[in-house]
Amino acid sequence: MNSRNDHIIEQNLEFPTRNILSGIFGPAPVQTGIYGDLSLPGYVVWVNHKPSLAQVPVQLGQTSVNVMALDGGGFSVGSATALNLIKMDDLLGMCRAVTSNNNGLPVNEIWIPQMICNQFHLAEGDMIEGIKVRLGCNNLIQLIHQASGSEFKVGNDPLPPWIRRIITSLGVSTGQFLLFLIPLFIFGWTTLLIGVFTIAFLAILLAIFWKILPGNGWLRGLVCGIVAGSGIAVFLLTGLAWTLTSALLLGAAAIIIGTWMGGILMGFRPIQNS
Amino acid sequence: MKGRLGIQFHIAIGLLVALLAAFLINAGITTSQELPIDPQKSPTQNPMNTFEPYRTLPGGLLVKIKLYRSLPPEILAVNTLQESRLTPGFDGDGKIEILGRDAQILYSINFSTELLKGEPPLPVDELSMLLILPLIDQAQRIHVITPEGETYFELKE
Repeated sequence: MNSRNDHIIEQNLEFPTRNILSGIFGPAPVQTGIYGDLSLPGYVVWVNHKPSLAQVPVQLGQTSVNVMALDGGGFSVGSATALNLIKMDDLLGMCRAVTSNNNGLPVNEIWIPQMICNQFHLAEGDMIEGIKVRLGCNNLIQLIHQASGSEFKVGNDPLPPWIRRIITSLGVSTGQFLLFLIPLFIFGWTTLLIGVFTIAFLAILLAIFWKILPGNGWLRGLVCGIVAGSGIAVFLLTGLAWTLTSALLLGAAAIIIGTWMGGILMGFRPIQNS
Repeated sequence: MKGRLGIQFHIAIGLLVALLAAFLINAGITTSQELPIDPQKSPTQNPMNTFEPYRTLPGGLLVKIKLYRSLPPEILAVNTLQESRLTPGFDGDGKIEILGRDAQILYSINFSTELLKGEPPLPVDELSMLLILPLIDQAQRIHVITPEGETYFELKE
């Protein structure tokens, strides 16, 4: 175990096992840290996204590299980079941890997926904490093959971050819709339809304005919720001639859903190993 | 990132948030149906009035009025009915009222004063209309108002 400030970097973690239901309601985080056997010299950088990490033992069995799982809130690399959830400090901390604690084996290079390199403006050959950066694929299995010495061409540029944010938001809103389904349906079809529309609308609104809104996800969600809730209330009052009370109640529901969606788009904190 | 929700709490808190949001949405829908009486649109302008359209009522007044393009309206006839279904109120700048003592409005509905007739509607210079109003014991007069003017009809001499 290695510590940087108050952040503890777990090492020698075991890859998670596959679970069909994981991530059905939203992001699926596992513990951040270094997955694999530290006696191996190869390192790749990834995020703490359970479904992709769980593929490694299934598809590769024994790996010849270690995976440095950064905190991406449980989102995939594409989503985590689009939402700016990965922190450079985490990457630096992991690099320090492996250089100081690798059973004496020198760590010459780390393979970093193209999308993370783009977020941190890293290029092939750059040095981090004395380790050479290698630009790798955006697929974990291919990235591991690259780090093991196989030739893999880095694919085309990924989709622009704003499109990935919208796709991620809609995916998250689908998960939240499943979670909200029964509570909304208890109150009838109309409530269900309005709830689903509000969730999807706020997810798209958050995706569009995510980068320009201040604060963390909760605050961004609150701001989006207030804007959307005010718009909905004004529309109900002027367009549909609803009462002020009903417009305010629907506006309040939008604020609550917006704040919740903003919080979910920050990702989750995983359950820490004791 | 600080402030992140622990995954183990996500479903429990999510369900609570969903219940709260669903309750607010449902309360909003419910209160939206309790619309306040809009005096311009309601067929029962007087809050004391409980007459409803589309329901057969005992008694009634069949009022025949005539509208003119540039003259005040006329009340041509008022007949008593054994039972009736009231003419519902519509958007429009014409108004017919039943007045009681001291010009108290006992009943009021709006109607359109557009002078159109036939299919397709073509403009005409005058137009007759039949309106069915409730029979009210305290009624004294019928009052018709249009942008061109107004007229009264005395029910009780």
